[in-house]
Amino acid sequence: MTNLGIVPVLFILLIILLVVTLLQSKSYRTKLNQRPLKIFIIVYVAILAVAPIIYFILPKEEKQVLTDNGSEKLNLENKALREALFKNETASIDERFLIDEWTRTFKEKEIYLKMENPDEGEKVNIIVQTSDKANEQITGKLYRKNFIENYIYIPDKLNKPTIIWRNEKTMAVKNPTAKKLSYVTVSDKLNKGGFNNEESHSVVVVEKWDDDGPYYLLLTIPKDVKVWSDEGLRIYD
Amino acid sequence: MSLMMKAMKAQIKFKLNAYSEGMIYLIVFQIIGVVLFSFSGSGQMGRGAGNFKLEISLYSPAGIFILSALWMFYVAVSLTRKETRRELLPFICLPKLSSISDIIILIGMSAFLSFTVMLSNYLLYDIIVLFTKKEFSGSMAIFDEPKVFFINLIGVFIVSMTVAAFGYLIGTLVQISKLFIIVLIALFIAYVKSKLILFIGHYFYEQNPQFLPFAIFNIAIAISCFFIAYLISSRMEVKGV
Repeated sequence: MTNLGIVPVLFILLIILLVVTLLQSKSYRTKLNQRPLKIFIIVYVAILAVAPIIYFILPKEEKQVLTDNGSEKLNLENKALREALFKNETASIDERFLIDEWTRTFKEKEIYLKMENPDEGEKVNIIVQTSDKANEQITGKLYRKNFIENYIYIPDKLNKPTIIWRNEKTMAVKNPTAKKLSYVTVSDKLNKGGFNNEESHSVVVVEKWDDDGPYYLLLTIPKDVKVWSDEGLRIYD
Repeated sequence: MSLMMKAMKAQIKFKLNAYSEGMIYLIVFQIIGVVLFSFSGSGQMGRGAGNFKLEISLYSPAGIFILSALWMFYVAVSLTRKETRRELLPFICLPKLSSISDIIILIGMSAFLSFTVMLSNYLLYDIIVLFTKKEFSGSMAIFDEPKVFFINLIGVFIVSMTVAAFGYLIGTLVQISKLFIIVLIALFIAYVKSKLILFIGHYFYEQNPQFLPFAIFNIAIAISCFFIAYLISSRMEVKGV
């Protein structure tokens, strides 16, 4: 594999060489007068002195990095959400987790659940509950847990999964397409870690349940409807 | 004030005027750094898969500092050049003080470099805020963490002083004999990947160095280099007389 990492360094060195050569050839021909030189240096220093104040004043979109406690709190909320979904205690779930809700009339005796692109995108966990009510309706509720990456809480920037009804019996879930998020971190630190740096974050242990992915789709189907899926079903008591 | 001090003060003032043109190079280097690093930043980090890809661009003074340190090295070497000394000789009444005044000027230039490096970084931040729509996260600027700013300002000063001392010593050695260029290149190639250099690099410069050992180590190197250079250049002047 070709290592192209050296190219920017060579590019910078080339520019430096050109500038030095240019300045040297100029300085031989025309000696800069001391007075304009001093004014130039003073103006540059004055601009630099004002630069931090401008940075402070300028409005900018800024996302706070979570503390260990903040991150733990959100993780605990995720755990509570999962437990509530699996224990059928949806009434206790905070409304902000619910991002979509729909109802569909369903007169069939069986339903096929299909994943459109199981190996792509972020996993959608489907939880099926049976309803005691003798109606002919399927209810779908899409929940999104607190999504934290690199200690940044990303509440509403992920793409949503798509639900498509292929026919009267087959419901397909399409995993959301990838989304790229870019952030800028500015720092006065000269090196990566900084001097005397005590790690501001402890290592977060990811528990087994946290592999779930950001979405849960809770389907409530009539009691007498059979559920089939190519991906297999896990039955929880 | 003794006559010696007066002579020293006059020499420093005179040399500062003579070398002030060099400051233009530093400013040009820093502006090049600001423009270059405003595109990509000093580093990048990416993670995530599937639905989500997170890309964090890091902007820090490291890149601008490397460019400025190159300037510092160039200035330190050029102060020892025969042409420079010859140009200044008619104006210097006490040639023996010349090295000391050079060292003081280099320390002063290091201080100027440190302030401009740390502040030119903010010029870069202003450009990002004004001309890009990038979202900030986890920033650690002077108003959030003034301690980080000042500790790194001192760090930049110490390292640039060490670079200047190295440059001054190398320049002085090369004035004795051009063969030193080959010797220094050979030493560099031989030791750049040695265990000792790797240890020094890792312990004093890489991630999370402790400030006090870092400062003591660099100041010790700078003092040693300046002192050796002073001894050599004094002997050179005696020989010249």
